[in-house]
Amino acid sequence: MSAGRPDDGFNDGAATPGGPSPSAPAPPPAPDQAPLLELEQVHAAYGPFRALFGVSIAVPRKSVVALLGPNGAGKSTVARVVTGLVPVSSGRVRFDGRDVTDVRTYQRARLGIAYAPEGRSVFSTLTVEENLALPARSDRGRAATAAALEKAFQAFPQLAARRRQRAGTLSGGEQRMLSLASVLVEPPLLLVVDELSLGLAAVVIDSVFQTLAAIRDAGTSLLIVEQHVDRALSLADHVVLLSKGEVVRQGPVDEMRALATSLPGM
Amino acid sequence: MSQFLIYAIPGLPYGCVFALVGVCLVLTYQTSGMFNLAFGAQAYVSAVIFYTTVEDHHWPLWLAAVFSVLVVGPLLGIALDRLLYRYMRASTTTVKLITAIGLSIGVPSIVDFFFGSSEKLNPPSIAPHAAHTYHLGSYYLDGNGLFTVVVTVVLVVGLGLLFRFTAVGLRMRAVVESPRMVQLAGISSERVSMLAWILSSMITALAGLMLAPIYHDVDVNNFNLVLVTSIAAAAIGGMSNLPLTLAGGLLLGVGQQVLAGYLPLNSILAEGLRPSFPFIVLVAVLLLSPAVRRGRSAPDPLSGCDPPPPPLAASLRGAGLDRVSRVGLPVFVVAVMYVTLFQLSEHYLGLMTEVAIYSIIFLSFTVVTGFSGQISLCQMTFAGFGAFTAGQLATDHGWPFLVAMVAGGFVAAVCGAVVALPALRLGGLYLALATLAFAVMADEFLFPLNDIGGGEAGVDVPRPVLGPIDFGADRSFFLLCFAILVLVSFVVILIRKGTIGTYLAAMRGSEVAASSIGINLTRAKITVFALSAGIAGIGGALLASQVQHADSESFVYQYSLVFVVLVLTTGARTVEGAINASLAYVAIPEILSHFGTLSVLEFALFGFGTIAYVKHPEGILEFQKRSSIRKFNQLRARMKHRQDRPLIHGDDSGPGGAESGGRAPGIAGEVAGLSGAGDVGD
Repeated sequence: MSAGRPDDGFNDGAATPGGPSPSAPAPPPAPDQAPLLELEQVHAAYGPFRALFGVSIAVPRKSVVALLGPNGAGKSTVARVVTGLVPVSSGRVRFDGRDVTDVRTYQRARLGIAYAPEGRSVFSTLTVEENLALPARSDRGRAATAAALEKAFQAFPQLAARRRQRAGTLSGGEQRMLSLASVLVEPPLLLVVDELSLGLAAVVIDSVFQTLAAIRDAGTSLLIVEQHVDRALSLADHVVLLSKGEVVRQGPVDEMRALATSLPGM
Repeated sequence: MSQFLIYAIPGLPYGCVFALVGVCLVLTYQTSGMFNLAFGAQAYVSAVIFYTTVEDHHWPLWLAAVFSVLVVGPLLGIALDRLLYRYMRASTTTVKLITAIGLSIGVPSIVDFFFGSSEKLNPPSIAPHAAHTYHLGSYYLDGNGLFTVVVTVVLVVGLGLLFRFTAVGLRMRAVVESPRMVQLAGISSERVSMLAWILSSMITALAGLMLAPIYHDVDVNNFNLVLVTSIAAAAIGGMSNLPLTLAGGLLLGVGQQVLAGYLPLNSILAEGLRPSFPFIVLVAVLLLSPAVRRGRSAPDPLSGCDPPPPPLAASLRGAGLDRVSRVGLPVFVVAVMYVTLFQLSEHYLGLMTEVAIYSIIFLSFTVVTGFSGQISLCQMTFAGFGAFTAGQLATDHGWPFLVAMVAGGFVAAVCGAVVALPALRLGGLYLALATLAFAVMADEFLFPLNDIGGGEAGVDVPRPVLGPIDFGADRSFFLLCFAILVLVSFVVILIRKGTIGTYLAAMRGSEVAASSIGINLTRAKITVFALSAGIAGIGGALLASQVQHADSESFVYQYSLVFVVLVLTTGARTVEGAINASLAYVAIPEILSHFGTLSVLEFALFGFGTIAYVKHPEGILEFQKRSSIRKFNQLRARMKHRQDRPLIHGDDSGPGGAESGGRAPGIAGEVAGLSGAGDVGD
């Protein structure tokens, strides 16, 4: 893993002068002050189509960052770069004190990056129970899995009633609940949420956002990609405005509120 | 009832093997998206190694069995997964199928190279008490058969339990739907896929060991015949349902025996039913099964992470290459004609005639695969229909050969339309499988019939005579074949540039958009399929006319597999591609024949050409031509660039560059990237 190579610490971490100490989880600046997630000059592309041009974003610990911007701004690409689904063509991604630029998606998931993708994001051919058991089983026993399932069903009683039903037969809102429930089974350090409210009824969106608030309160940082600016702002601590693959502005939510709501195309 | 059981029970071992292989096919198809047409090759590797270690090196049976099933099988699976399949997850159905077919051709050839291609008769059975006959009341089964049944039941039940109740099974089922979402759950989807390949390779190896004693011979063709029947079993299971696949396999095995038992001995029906059974069942499933017609209903929700398919412009040639080939081709053709007619010996003249004839047959692939993107695995069967029709009409009914040849093409076209009709709507995989089953049925049943292939004696096919001109002499026959090749090439180009070609180009761009502007895609596809079968038929008639004979061995399905791989490897979109493939097909064995034992590797060479195909789906030669044109253009651009260099250099090192900070390189990079892309597209 890249964190094991001392060179990386020197080359990328210009801000961490204390020298490389790969085994120690905390570099000299206290872990609480270093951001949980840091993108540094990230460029990314889909084949020949370039999507991000030097994006630098930081998500502090225990905070909510909203990623706003018009269609095609590269918001979803940022989310995919964070999870490793789309490789960066240049730039670095750091997470929890280590360089994860070359770390594979599944290893990032084990480090604590969870992703609730846009649209349908459950295994539709598996049952509700199996959907929840899949991530939980990564390194647990049977009993722990059962306990985790119970926890998820307590949080989402309407899923418990459908535990043996195929996830593909759930309604859109229930599917979002299910993908959030599988996050809750094993609370991650960071949850990346991509357009979670897309295509949902207003009532359902309310409950989705309540769930997100609950996840935040449990200590998980959130990176939210959202078209509903108002709802995103109600939850966010920081706002990043993206346009055409570049960061236009970023700052605390109070400074950005007026700008964010006045932007065209939102 | 007892009569029924007497026929049914000997069918059980067959049914079990069909079921087992069908389950393997479903397992790998579901976990990796590869339909493993290389099953026969994989089973052959293990069976040969088992045979060699036991017979030649006198290993104890159990050690040889453990070695070939638990070591060789999984190693082969891992090798294929790591070296090949892993990089093909996002490839199209065509690429995956062609790769598997390439392996099925190449791997046995490598095996024969190392272990000798002599017949391996009466392979030992791994069953305990294989020769013992077990009586169940008045019914009996030999030890090998009983062992096969028991092993199959154990394995299928075990697999079912694994899938339903274990974490690994759950992951395998999840990978089917979306490898990326499995990754997001913190699980290495590649490891899960590799596990599935290991598992299925072990079962495949075991199937090979159990099959060989049933057929009393270690022969890759037997394995391929089993594969075709198992495809029908997998289709009954909708390519996804294991219990249904098991039932389908048993049904096919038992059904073949029972039907053969009840039908009058030695009648056409009894002889023909067994080989045609897979095709009939497959077509029935395609027509009737709602599960198959729905296809794979759950696409990967994260497919948005893939780069979009290259724009259509990238799959077309640049104008530069077109100009070069427009000038180069006539020059080349005239030179080849001159050398062939006036310089070459009889032997090489014959080879050049073959090149012309195979080019015609290969052009039929250009039409069906290059233009409409469908894969047909029975083009040589259509060629056979053309040849037999032409031969029968010319010899028995006194038709002039050229008229008979056209009639042969017509008959082949009708056959093509009939075969394509049920499968075309389902497209891709199912068409390929249906054509493969059809080819096997034709080989085993239709062509040996007296009324079609002339039975044992075959059919005499005369050389053509046109008015006063007799094409009996080799030189004039070459000229005729060449003229027909030119004619067919023009027809192919007309198809591409005409209405149907335009429709098909639109379809490749977007099926949905094409049908939304009122293009009847099914009709276009069937027309093209029939046309291609017709071209193959004409080529087949000429092929038979060259040697003045055709029999049921002349057009076996293996040729179709080799040809499809060869044409797609060299380039399926262009006439040149087909001619290049034909040159390779004729020239490479000729060259290898000078190297003694190396000539076994001929098919390995053709088969492993597919690895190049994975990287360059436009065809390896086409890729080379395009890249040399591109390099030439780049060189020209650089020459031009050099004149402008002082200006750009000054801009780069100027004081303004440092001040503009982080953003400027980004924009400069963007501009550079765009102009770079422009070069590539040119």
